[in-house]
Amino acid sequence: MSPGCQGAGGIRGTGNRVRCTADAARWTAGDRRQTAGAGRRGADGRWSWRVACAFVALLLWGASPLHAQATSVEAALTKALDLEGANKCREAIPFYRQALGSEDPVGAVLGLERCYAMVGRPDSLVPVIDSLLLRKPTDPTLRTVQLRTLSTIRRDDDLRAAFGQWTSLVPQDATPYRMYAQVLLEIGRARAVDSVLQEAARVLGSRKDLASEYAQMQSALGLWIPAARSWREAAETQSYLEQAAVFSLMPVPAALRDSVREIYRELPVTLGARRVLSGLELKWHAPRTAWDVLAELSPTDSVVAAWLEFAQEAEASEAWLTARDAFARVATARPKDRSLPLRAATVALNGGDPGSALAMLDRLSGPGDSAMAATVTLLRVRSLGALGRAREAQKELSAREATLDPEARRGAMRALAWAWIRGGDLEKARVALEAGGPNTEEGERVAAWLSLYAGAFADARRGLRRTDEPNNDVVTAMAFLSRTRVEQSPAAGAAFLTLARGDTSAAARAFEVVANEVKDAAPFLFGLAARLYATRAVADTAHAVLLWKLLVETHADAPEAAEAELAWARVLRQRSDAAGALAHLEHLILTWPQSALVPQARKEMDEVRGMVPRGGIVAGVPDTCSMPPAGAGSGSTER
Amino acid sequence: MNLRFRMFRHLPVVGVLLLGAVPARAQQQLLVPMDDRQANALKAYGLVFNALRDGNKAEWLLNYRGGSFLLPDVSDVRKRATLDGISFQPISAPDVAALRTEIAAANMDVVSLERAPKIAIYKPLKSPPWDDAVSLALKYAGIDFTSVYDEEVMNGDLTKVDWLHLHHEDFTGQLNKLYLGFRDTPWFIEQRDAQLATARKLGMPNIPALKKQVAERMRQFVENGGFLFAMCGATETLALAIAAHQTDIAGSFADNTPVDEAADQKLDWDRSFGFRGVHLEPSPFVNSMSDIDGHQVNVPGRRQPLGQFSLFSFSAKFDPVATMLVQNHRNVIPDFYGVTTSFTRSTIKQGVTILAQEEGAPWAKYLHGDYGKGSFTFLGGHDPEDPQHNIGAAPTDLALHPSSPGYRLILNNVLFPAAKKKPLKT
Repeated sequence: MSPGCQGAGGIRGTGNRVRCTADAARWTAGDRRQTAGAGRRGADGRWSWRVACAFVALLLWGASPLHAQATSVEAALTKALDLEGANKCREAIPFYRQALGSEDPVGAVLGLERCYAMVGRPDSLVPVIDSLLLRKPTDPTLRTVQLRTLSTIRRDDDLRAAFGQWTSLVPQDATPYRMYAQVLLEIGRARAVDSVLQEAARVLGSRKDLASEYAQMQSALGLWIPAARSWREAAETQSYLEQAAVFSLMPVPAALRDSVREIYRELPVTLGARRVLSGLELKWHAPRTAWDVLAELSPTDSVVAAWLEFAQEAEASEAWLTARDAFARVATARPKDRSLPLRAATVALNGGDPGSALAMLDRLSGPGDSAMAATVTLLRVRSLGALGRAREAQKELSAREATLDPEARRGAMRALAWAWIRGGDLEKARVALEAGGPNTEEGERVAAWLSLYAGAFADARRGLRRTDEPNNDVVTAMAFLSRTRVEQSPAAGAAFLTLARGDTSAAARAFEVVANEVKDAAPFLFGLAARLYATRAVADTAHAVLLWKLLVETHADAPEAAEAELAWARVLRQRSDAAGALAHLEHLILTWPQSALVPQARKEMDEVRGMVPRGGIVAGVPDTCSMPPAGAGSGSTER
Repeated sequence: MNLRFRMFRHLPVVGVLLLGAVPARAQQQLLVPMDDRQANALKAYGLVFNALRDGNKAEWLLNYRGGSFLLPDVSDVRKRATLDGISFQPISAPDVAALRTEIAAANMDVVSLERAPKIAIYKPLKSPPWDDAVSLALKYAGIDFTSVYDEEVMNGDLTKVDWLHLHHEDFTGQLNKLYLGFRDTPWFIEQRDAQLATARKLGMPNIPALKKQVAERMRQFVENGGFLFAMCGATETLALAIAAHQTDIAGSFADNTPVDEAADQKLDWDRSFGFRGVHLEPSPFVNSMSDIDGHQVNVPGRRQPLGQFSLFSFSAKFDPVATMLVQNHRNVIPDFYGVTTSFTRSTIKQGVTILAQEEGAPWAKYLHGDYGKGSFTFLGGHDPEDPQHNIGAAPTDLALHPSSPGYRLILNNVLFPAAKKKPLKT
């Protein structure tokens, strides 16, 4: 540190630190020059004399009134910032005003702007800015603060005059137009922005520097098609605007989205445009289309980076199979990155496609590190298990067991246990689970499922009660277990096992049969069987209807009766039998008026009767009683 | 005492016993509250309308719990109320009597509703079914209506209905001055061509001429005792078209001739509904028809921000019509834009009743006036639950707004023609 800095010890202001550093740099440079000179001449005495002189001069400067003033200004700014940081805006204001005397008053002005706003006196800033502008008439920050302040206090005439004054001082600069446009947009005067930007384009000879302002203005006015075009133009040169474009265009009505898509698909094909369109498709809940938009691009480095970013985003939003395709594409483009196929396989498994997960894993060749080997083994066992190929899973695990640490081995054994469950061999599943080592929470969970499948409901109830799995299987199992006092029923367990093995049709038949055995849960089991019959996999709605009828007519006191009636009505709606559907919905509402399904039944009844729109846009003529009429007012816009 | 006498001697006792044996339900009525206890206020209007259509009588309890209804306790009414999720409570004869006493002593009144009016909505056949608030409200409430458009009006179909609703039609024939912005869009071309074809079929040279004739038929409909309810741009343009029977107010893009320079002076406001001394907006580039609209939503620089409007409180016993039209469970309602959002006070005729206004603003929101043997009601704005309606926006799902105070104003208009006329007390 320079002597000057030592002399100013205790001053903490940023400006002061900068000044001290500069002094130190000057001192060091002088020192080096002096050292070199002394070496050449060999005059040590003269060197010492110069150092002493410089030291004295610095001490004198530190004690001068000029320096004292600068120091006090900087100290005032520091004090003001500290007070503002402590939420003492009222106390900070005098110090900010004191700090306005510095060479660069912008920090103090911005502080004053914040504090005056906090204490509800934004108008007090106007004379301050006016006096500072006499010193620095073209300072863009001061000018912008002036516009913001005049806008806040609603002095529209002064605001317009201040903007005019600024443009007259810097006629060829886009900044005044941009800042004025932003101020107007913030107060919702989007129409006035139109005039400002048109004037800017005329004066500057181009609208290139104002593309983002055009885009914001058009979005604010709901002029979606021009807005999409402007956002594309703006984001081409300023890629940081891509996210702004996505958020701004997100509310585009469904009827206009195709037009927006066309704009972003227009030639030339650019990554920026495609990223915006892809982002929009994601926001419009079309992840597959979002991926297709990017997948069409040739795999340059930046495109692959965009693919990876997309894959991660799709994964985060649980669009598993889209994420799988994106990770797989990145993996092809970056063959050396062995983590990518693993991620692709993981999301494929999450998305319920173990076949493609296995195919991804097969692409991994050669030795990886041990952690990766363990992950690959686990994923392969899970995939094989999900495909019901328990023997292959067992073989895989036996061959690679040595690569697994105890935790990974337990995980693999649980996956193998599930593989055997899906293969229908509960004994081997139990052996696999026990081979996994000491009991863990996850192991207990699998054991509880095994108990259920074996028909040992007391154990199943104990184990599953603790689970926090957020899936339908648990809900169904717990709903069944809570409805019956039966402790043992191998037949019911077998029905659940059949369901777990993915044989929906056989499971439906099994549940229907078991309903006659587990009588206290019969309505639940009939309802479950009917639901399975009605699934797309079985598609036996005729049989489902028989069971719903049985529930409605002979189990009217059970909660499943109202549920059966609603499901029955829905099937009739699908068959375009509106009258039949209405009869069932009405019967539901009148028979079980306290049922939690009544609001849903009323909603569907309204839809059947055509009382409410079915959502989305009705094809045809857009509503002409709408604002704003794009272009109709463009010739008359006022500032 | 002979046997016969002895038999009759016991008749009063038997009668009392018989009366006691009549189910209590036959004596009680159903109170449909319309305050915050009502789960579905919009469907309650449908319940009353359909009860009237089925031959029942109903009573509207003005200013009582938000403008509640009293209906006979019959199974059909109960069933429909239950199905639609409408709150109701059975109320015994003594309680009804007490209720009437309470009403008699306060600024409330009972209005008998006797007959479901025949309703028509003026809209093109090919328009989307959800394009106007009244269609939405009537469909949601389950109130039947027929659609009429230019040909039906010109063929005299208005004589078959009691109540006519208009929404965003431009009766000046300028298609809401959307020509500049939308002239190349397929829906605009289709709309223009269809209307032009109708005009020529009916022997008129252009759309402004056709609409002027249609407006005249509507004027006659009201003059002869019809009820007209208009919203949005139809309010302003209908009045303009009727007043312009002797002048040209359409731009040359619509009829190949410019607006008459002296049109302001030639407008015949004695003949038209609601307004006077209006200044026309002659420029085809300015998306406004006149200075009737206070908000000028589509005119840059003139557009006024939305506030809230307040419903006036009227004397139920002396001013039942106005009271019926403002029955609501809210007195202050958020405003909503439309092609015509509000009505500048300086252009409103004397004698027109202002039903709602924005405090301190130079405009009113909701007007009612008598004309000939009929009456008209104008409500500014497009959709009470979509204050900034935009082209292509999804239709409002009223299931999400079952007690919308703005939509209640529309439905008040549907029931008001069902009221039995009382002798005027003033």
